[in-house]
Amino acid sequence: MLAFALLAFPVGLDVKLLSLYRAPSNGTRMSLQMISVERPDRWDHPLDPGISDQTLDWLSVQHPFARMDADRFARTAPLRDVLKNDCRLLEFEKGDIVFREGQYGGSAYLVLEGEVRIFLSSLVFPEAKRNGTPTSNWLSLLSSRLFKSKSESELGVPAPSKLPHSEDRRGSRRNIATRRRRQSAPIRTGQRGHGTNTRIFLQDIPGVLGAHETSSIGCGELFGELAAVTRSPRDFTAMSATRAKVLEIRWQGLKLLKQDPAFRELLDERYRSEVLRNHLRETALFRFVPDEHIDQIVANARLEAFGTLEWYADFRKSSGKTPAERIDKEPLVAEEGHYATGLWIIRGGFARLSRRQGAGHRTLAYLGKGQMFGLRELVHNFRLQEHDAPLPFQESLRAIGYVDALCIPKQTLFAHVLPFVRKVDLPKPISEARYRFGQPLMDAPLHARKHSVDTGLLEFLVDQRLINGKQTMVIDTNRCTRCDDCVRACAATHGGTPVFERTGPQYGPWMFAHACMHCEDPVCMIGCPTGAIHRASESGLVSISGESCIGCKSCAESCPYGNIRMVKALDQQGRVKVAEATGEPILRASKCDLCADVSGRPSCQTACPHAALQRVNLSQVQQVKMLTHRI
Amino acid sequence: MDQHQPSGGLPNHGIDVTAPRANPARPWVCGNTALGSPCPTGPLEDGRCCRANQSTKPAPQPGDCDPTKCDHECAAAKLCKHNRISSQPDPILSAPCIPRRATWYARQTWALNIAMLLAGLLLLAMAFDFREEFFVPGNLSAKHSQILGNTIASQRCSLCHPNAHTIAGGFSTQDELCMHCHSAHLPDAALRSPHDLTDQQLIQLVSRPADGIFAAEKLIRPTAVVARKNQQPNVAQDLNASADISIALTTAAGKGNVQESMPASGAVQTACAQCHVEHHGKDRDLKSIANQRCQACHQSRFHSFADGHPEFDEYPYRTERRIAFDHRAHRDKYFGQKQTQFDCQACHVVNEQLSLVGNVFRTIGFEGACAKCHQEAIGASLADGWAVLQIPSLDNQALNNPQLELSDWPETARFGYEGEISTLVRVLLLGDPDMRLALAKLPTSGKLSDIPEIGQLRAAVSLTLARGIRKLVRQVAQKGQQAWKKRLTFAIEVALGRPPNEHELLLMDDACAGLPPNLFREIESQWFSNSDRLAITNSEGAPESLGVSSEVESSSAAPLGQLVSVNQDDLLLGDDSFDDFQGNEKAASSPRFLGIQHLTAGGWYLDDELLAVRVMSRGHADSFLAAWNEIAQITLNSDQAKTTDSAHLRLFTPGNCTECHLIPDESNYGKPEYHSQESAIWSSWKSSYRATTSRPFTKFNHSPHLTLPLLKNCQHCHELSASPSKTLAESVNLVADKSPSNSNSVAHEYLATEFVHMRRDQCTVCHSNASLNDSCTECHNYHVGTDGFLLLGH
Amino acid sequence: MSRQNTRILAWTITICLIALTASGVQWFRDHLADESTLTGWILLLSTFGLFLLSERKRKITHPWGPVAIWLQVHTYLGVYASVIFLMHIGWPVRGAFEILLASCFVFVACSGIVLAIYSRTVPKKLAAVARDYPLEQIPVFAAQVANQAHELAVQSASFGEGATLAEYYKRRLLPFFNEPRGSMYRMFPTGATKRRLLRELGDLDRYLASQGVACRIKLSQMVQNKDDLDFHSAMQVRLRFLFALHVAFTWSLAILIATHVILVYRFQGVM
Repeated sequence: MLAFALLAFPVGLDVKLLSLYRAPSNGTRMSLQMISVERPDRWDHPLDPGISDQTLDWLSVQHPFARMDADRFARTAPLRDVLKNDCRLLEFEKGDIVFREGQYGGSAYLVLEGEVRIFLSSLVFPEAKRNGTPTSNWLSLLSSRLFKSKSESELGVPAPSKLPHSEDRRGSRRNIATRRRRQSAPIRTGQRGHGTNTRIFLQDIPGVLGAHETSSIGCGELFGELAAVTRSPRDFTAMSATRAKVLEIRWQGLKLLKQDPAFRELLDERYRSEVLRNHLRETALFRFVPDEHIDQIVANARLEAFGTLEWYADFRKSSGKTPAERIDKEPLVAEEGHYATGLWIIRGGFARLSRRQGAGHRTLAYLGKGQMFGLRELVHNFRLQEHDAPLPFQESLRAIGYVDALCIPKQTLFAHVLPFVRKVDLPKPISEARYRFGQPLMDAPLHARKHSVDTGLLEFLVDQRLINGKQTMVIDTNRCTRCDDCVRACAATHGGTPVFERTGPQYGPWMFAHACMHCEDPVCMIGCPTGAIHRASESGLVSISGESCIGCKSCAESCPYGNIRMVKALDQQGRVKVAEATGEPILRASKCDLCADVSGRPSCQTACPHAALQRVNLSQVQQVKMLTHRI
Repeated sequence: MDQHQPSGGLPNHGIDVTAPRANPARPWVCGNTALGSPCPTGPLEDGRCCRANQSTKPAPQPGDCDPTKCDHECAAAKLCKHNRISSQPDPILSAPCIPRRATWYARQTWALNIAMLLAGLLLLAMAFDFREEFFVPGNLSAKHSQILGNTIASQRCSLCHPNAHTIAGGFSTQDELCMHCHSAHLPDAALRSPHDLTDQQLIQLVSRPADGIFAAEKLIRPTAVVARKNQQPNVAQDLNASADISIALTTAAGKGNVQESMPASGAVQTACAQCHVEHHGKDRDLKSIANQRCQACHQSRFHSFADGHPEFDEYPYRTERRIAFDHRAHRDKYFGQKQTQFDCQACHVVNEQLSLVGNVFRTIGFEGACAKCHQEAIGASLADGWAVLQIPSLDNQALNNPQLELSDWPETARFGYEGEISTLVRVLLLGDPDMRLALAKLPTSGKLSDIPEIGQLRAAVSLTLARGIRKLVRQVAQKGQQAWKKRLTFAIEVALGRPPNEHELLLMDDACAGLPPNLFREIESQWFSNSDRLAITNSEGAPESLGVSSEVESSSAAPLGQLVSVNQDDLLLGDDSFDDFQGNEKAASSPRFLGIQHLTAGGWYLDDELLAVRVMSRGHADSFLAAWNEIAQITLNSDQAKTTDSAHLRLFTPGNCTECHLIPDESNYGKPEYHSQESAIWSSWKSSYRATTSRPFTKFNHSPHLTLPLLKNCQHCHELSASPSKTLAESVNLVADKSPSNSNSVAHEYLATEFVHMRRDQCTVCHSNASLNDSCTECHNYHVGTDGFLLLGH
Repeated sequence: MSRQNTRILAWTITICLIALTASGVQWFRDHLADESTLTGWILLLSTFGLFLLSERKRKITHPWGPVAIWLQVHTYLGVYASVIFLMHIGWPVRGAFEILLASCFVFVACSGIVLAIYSRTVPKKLAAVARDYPLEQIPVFAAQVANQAHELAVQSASFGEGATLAEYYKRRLLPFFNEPRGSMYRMFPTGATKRRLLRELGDLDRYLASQGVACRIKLSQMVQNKDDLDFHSAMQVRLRFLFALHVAFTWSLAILIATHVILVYRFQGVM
């Protein structure tokens, strides 16, 4: 009898006892409890909650707003409300940095008083940009962990979550001093204020201004709107040259303001000369070009945009089509076999570099920001002897989705650029031209060379627009045992529900899981009415602020990859929020946040016991190569 | 869920963005999963279906769809879209399901269940009687296996394991429990030190200067042993003092606690279980010890006996020798002359008995080995017997002095101061305080004529001694052996300054054994011609003396009896003395009584011619002679008794005993070394005292070797050296001249040179790891203890 | 550092550790110390180290390095512990309890080794299949395929080409789509059944007209899909089941080890 009792006891053990051995999952357990709340609205969280009516009154009589036609604004979003909710009045002292080059930000700035200078050349700030790449090998991971403190101080990369704190620390004189010694003439900065009023200011304004070329932004002028609209990093650093009042307008507001034609003009105004000059200065090819020639280039260069900013809609439509049809749909920037009329420099978005192969097109690479097209041909033509025929473009360039490109015409290039370029900066001459005028076309062999990306993979990545991802979760199915530890870890980190799915498009052994890729061009942000989905200013990670998300599904529906889901919103106690009016649960967007707030490292990646899961920056072909050549 | 359609490479954008993601961490899955249409929400955390509590609110119907509202605000929107595709919602699928437990959710549940099951089984196993069989890590060896046959629980495991039976922690250690049973035959093992030696002994052993294979620094690994300096400062100092001793003592044991629980006495700790490993089945020999165990401490390690073992230095000839037997002379001279074969086995092998070295003995005894040739000679050496007491001749005139009371001195002894005071008498006279001065003046030879004629010295000494002798004779005649005993006791007290100990009492018994008082009465009546006076005296002191004599008889019977039982096989008893006396009486009528004729088997008689009391020894091994020999040495050579002119009384050898017997140095008598070796009086006369060491360090059994044809000839191994450096006799004489106290070492030295040292290769011919066992324990005992340690050479 | 080099380094370290321990044991033996105490405690510590992996998995947000590293360490530590285990036990193992303990250890070690091998080989087999199926959703897919096949088969009867396909479906494919595969297949999945069905389906073509052939081709595709699903299911279940066993017996092992240690010290008179 005793034996039976003893045998029966453990087997019949209640499962609840087992919860002792499991990490508590507080999220879903509470799902029975609900709390009624008011459905959130887009302006529940204004940019500046403390903006006063006086300020608004004052604003509405300032330069651009005074002339705006209030009738052009929708009834649901009048001008005053836009100013109230999407704007913030900033006051800068002389030398205060408005934003820095490379930062991400969703706001444009309008100068109301004083003067702001934008730097046309790069400033070296005490803090370097984050450039940590995921390591693939456990030993190197181990060593990087072991020597973490060292590498961090060398790179100057704080973990994103620690940013404000570490900024405080770095502000101390000692850190600045040590940093300056190591880097080439970094500027000295100081810090003042706290919270949202924290300002970083330049220590030696005349010195810095003397060393760098700047351009002035005066009263009533707008700056920084391009980066805000294109969701790209800032191209330049802006500093207030005097005591200044600047109105920060988040781009959701900007979109509304654009309904006014006068304001639209203002936008297109002064971008060309200043920004272009700035851009050219930064390009290696133009390093030694004298200023007067730069001016000529600026005068002659064309800025062109291909495709639409809302490219995801087209992409969605193209899903059932053949590759040939899809490629035909892509806006052609330059075509192979045509005259090489100018040099194309990609400013934003991605372009497909392709070549005709049989009846279709073979993708050779995709070009991202800063990459050029047509240089080889033009250089070849530039060096050409009198009797030789010039070469046409050897490849085609197509906009994948949306491309912002700069074209420098052939004549301008020959006259103002190539004479000043060092040989080392030039590409190798073309030995075997594929296209020659008047000669038949030859198919190149299809095989991929040893260190180039597998063509099939490349086509796949481009077709799927996966090249957009900067932190794409790639699972090596040859190593993945399907243990789901990654999903479990994700759930454990995110209150019991995972924020990604271990499924997704597959090419060969690589599975590109349904996890937020933290895109180079995050189209999910386009439709967000509140700015809840935003990019972290330093790291560029796309994240959703839970409190300002109103659950409109716009981001989830616009994500071309289906990586955003709507989940039931919970309050602090884990209760489900339910709309007072309808009794329906309130939703909020949920997606991978790279565990930035929790541990600083993606839990899924940490949890993978076979190192099958990794994050890859697919926007750089080089990283894709590393992926394919992983040993 | 339709994004999982197994078609299409591109992502399908008909994703329901509100469907929750697949979550393997959920404890429940929808019951409709197996039907292919799980509901998107899934079961609740507590295992209820998500539709279970929807009854309160009616599910949206297709008609509820309000096209005017935007699609994400209409509660029925989804249903509406859905309806466009399929005609009717499946009533089964839209009904509440019975959620299933997620299969892989609770791996830990499995683990815990299995673990609990196991723990239950263990508890069960502990609760019942078969627990010992369950938990025992293997069977016991054959010798110990009867332990588990005990029925009382406390007599089973806990017989060897300290806390096996009781819950409360015990105080004894496992080793103590071992010694519980094993202390009887391994008393020294309780020390739990290497070879059961004490610290002092270990240190001695270790600190001896290089001495053949026992060179300490070679023997013991320095690292193996560590001194407990704080507890034993002296030990540590000793150890530090000798520079080449790289050693000390200590723990080899890994069992720290056992060690801590030990008293501070042992600097070195060993545990039984270090070598004797139990629970390895009944076939396991607990005594089989791997060579590595030995080499753990011994620094000079060698591969095997054949390969690297130190050469023997004097083995097996290191043992002290008791019989001065010259093998070479016997073989070459005596046996050769007699045309007899010199067969070692004739004297050394007794097939029926076993000694420590098998059926080989040092000697098989006088009777078996020597008597054939030497019996006669021993008899001849005392043809006239030993004059125990001789009435010295005195000056007639002096005797007439009435004050001396020597008027009855025999007529035949009245022609000047002559005669000899025997050693025996000298000892007996020591017991008379009046004689002290006279004895001091008596020369070593004991002859009265040797007393220098200075003034009246010779006369005075002689007369004094004569009075002593007269008194002695009278006392013996009256009181018998009791009188001797009293005197001996007193003599010993005087000589050693303390009452006689047990050993000496035994000696005294032997010294008095066979003494016939009647013979002394005879002396009184015949030589001193005063039988009347004796009778008168006797009648006068009748009540007292009779009582005394009867007492003597009864009391002396006991020790005699004891002696009989102890030494019955070796000793000659004086039990025939009474017959001798009678025979003597008969012989008195005849003109000349010759001991050699009448007392061939030994006994007392009177030599009327020389007025002497003589004792014929019984031949070899006469206990009376031996006892007197020793008593004389004790009393006359002791510091207190030493006389000025007699430097040292050499061995008292009436029968040339010491021609063959090498007796231990008597000058050490009374010192601990002496007694540690000689526990019994007769042992020193015996040829070997091997039996005293039960476990020598090196063991050897001849028996199996003697079965080999080649080894039947002992000289195959025990080879006599071609030309000994000196004969035994020479060496003994040499020693006698030099210092008598060194007889032992000389004997030892001689023995060592008489035979050619044995070589290891003689053994390794057979004892190599290829053929015969060559393990350390084949020849060496580990548990040697103090005795075995002494045999090492101390 | 490439994986190859990492592996070489890890093996080197493991072998060095084993050699070091072996020489330590030899040293103990040479000094008459109790080597089983040494190996016992080393074994206990390394077993504890092995237990730590599950602890790491449970506390995933702690900054203690990726689980992959822990698993690697776990694997090599497991090899080390197994060797120490062989040093620790006497041979043959005696006594019921000791045999229980040793067999528990051996079971856990062996399942670990098999797991290590499977987790390197099974993913490649899984990846060789056209698509990846999460285990939890395989029943859903299977039901979908079965439903589609059923509809198709029902449709095929209306083509006017006779009920050949429908009959075959009913006879052979219905059990294939709707019943779970046999236990033999679950343990050692092979493509034999699938190939046979495909061959038989192909043989039907001669009795079918164009519509029927098209339908047959779809059915063949579904057979292939269903077999893929079964294969994925069998392989994934095999991995998870082994893992569950491996984990399940660790607790028992812990209990047995604790009992063993207590018994040893109690019977030595220490506790």
